[in-house]
Amino acid sequence: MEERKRKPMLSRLKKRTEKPVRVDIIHDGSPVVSGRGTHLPIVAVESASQRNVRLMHGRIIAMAFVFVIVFGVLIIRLAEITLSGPAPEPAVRVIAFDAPKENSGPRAELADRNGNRLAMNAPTIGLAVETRNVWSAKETAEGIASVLKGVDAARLQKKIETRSYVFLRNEISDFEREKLVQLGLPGVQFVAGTKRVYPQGDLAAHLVGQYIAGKGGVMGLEGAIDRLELSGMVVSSIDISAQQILEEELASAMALYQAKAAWGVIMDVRNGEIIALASLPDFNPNAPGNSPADHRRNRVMYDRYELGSAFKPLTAAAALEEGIADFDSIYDVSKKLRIGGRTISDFTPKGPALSFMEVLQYSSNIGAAQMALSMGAERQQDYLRRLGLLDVLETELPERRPSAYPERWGRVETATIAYGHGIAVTPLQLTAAFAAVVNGGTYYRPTFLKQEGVREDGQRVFSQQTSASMRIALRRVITDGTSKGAEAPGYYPIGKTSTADKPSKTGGYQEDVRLSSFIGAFPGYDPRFVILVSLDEPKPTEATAGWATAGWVAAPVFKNVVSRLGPVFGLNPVGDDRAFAGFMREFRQNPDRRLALNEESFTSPDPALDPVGALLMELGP
Amino acid sequence: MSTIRVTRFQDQVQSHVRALVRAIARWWRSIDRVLFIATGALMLVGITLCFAASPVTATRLGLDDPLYFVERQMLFFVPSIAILLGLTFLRPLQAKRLGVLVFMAAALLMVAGLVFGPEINGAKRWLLVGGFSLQPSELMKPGFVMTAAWLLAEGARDKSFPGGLIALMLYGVMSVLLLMQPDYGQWGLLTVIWTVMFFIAGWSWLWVVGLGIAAVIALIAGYQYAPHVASRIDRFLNPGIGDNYQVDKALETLANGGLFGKDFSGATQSIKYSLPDAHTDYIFAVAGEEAGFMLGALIVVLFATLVVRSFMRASGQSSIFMQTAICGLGALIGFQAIINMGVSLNLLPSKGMTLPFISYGGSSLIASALTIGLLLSLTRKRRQHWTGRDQLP
Repeated sequence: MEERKRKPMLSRLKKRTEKPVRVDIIHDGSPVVSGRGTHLPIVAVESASQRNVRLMHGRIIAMAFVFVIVFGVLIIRLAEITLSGPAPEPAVRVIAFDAPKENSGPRAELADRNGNRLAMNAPTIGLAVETRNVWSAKETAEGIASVLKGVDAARLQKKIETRSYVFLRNEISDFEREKLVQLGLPGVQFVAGTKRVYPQGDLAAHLVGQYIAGKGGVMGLEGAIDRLELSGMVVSSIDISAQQILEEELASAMALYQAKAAWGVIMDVRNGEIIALASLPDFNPNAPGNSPADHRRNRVMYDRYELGSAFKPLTAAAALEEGIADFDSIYDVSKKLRIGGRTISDFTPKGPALSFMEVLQYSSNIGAAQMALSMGAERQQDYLRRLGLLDVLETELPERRPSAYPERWGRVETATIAYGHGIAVTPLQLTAAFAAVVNGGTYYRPTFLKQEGVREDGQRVFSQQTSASMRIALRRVITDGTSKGAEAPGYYPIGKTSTADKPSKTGGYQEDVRLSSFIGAFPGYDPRFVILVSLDEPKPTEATAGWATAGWVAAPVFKNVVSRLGPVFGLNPVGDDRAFAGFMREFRQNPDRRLALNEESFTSPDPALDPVGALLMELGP
Repeated sequence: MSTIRVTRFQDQVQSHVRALVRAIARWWRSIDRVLFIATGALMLVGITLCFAASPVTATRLGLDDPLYFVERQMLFFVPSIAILLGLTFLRPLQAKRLGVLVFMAAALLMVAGLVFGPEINGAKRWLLVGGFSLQPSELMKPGFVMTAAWLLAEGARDKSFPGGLIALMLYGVMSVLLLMQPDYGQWGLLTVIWTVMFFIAGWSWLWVVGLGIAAVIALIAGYQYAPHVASRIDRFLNPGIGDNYQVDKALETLANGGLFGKDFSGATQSIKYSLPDAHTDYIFAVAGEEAGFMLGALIVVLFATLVVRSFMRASGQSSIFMQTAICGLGALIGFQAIINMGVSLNLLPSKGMTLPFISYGGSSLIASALTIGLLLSLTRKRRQHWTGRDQLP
């Protein structure tokens, strides 16, 4: 069978050209006269597929039609984008390299809040050629090219011949200068210049930013200098000790969990000062070209993420403030929540009912969604807007990114945004919003410049009491909830884990691709600093029992930062009594509050429903 | 005596010049002028945009000479135009043979690239040839179209010759090579073109649908096992997660353009400077910013012209080889342009695909010239002195 099949095929392959072509002459027979003499015209060559060919015309036309439609879609989409008006605001103001900024006086220098230099001007010796003094353009060009790498002799010679002044280098080394002096070329000038030096290297690189000669500051505080036309010594809000602690802890966690990236920010809750901000991998502003462009991006301010459960405290605080929830509220989480065809479920389902605090403690999506649904989309949006999460966050730095949320904000969106899904904000936006929850209820726009005195431009979003209640609730998250790893002894930190799973194509979630964050504040009884730390796609290790959720990977980073940061700012560990007094202060000052003033007045038998009792149990006698 | 000689010499020169002019006129009449002019216009747009976009990259890379990429690209335009013009003199049979040769050479070079080539960004797609990096898979695509068209046509002409199956096997081998590099973008393009050719060569819907299903399965496998493919698709489907820096920047750059391009006299600055890959994958966005909707639309219309004109010419043919090859080449240019522009317009997940004739890149430019050159040679007007051998099946 095989033999028979193979043989004719092979012979056909070999002899194909010898096969006679069937030529059908369809003509009346009269000779045709053309340039090549009289002959009969070949009108058609009949092949076996002749009929097929005709049939295929339809398919070709159909394909062409499909192409036309696709190209039409491209044009419509192009019109939609280009004609919808210019981009709202360029995220990074970039100054065209052919339009150098006029230089008046030395560029402002940068320092941290304690006076440590972050950016300085340093004198340099540059190289230029005054061409009217040049004897031989060829000799000069070749001489310079022999000393300086990357100079093309022929091109330089042409420049010397055609221009009156050729500026070559802003900085040359002493060695190069020595050699050029020895060459003794007339017309060669050593000009004084300045260059930008960043003595801290890659420490706080994204905050300091980058200055490009002729372009100006293109990132970070260097960008702020140009934007705000600052001069002299610019004192920033950064503390390089805090910055170093944050970067070290993030870097070690990033290495340990093989995360793609890591970032963190420390903000003073009393006035919105950014004490430290890190985005890893980072770069050295002294040699920015050595790092990929990706490393130069400030992920805290320039990227937006769906940060997940960290939104739950915002939802809970809004619900408390609106009076639609209190510590006695009970939420039914026995069944998955179905809204508009979408099902909301909990990562670790708990009991049939959860109290207000347990919703935060066990990070219940269903509970948070119920809170938001009883509040309604309008009030939810109002709170998120006042917390700066729906608009672009403007700071002194050029980096910014508008948040992303659905245009249609229906019941489904209300429910999912309650637990941080379906809304993407920059990590800095979230940090500032969280600060307003725990600092007594005032929202401060983050600032990167050191603030003198009290800031007057804070916006009250929550009452003191709401904030005090949230502090107790968020303390419970660490003592009894998902964030036990965040406990820094003596600082009574408060906070919330947030593990945002990245969705897979099938609509579910991928087990190992996630964004693990922890947002918290310390000292919990009287917050001074809010700290956000995130690890992008951490991998589980044996030490984390195969988990890469925030409670396992991000919370310990927070804990380490708190333990090391406290002493730097004179915040020392305290005992339970001091902490309890701090947590209770707001309630004791308010006579209307039903809550206990001391241990004796506890009546509730179930500590889960009695926050003060629970707090006492946890703090010990 | 000498006067006569001079006169004769002049006559000879004149007659040569006249012959040359006649030859050029004949050539001009024989080629498809719509395709030719559209290609020329695209090349002009490409040169112009190269000046606008590539200094951005040169500056960012810290190169001394902002025109570094411009100069290199101009250097590539010379052989490209020569190839394009040279190919238009070929007859279909010669074009077919050349296509097959190019295909075989490119396939060998791809294997060589896998073995000897440098690894750049985790992929082995290139060969270093005297200071330039060559991407053989770019050249493979037009060669593959010609070869596959030949096999499909032979298969249709002679039912016992399994042309379709051999072509399918070639496609399989090329897929393996491309996926080993890995280069999912080129592989996707090859698959789509192959489907179009299969469809046009007259294979039944069953085959076309089966191939489509196979491609979807392969895509799912790529999603499962190749993390960077998965992350790109995820980021496209769910913009909230991860970084869509390039796409966001491209959209901002485009939005800056308006109808006639950005007003550069104003205070706000050009966004293209913050767009990585401005000179290659996202050059369409730069076009949008420089000259607005009008230039963007012109580019789309030019590519649409190339595709539709090729398909029209193909439908006028009566040979399966000609139809399949012409449609395949047209679809190659068309799909490549669609994918590139679709990415810039955020209609497709990001893929490293160049815009023919416009993106920076020597391999891409030469491959585009090869493609259009072959297309022009196949769509030439039939000449009377062509023999029966030029009647392709």
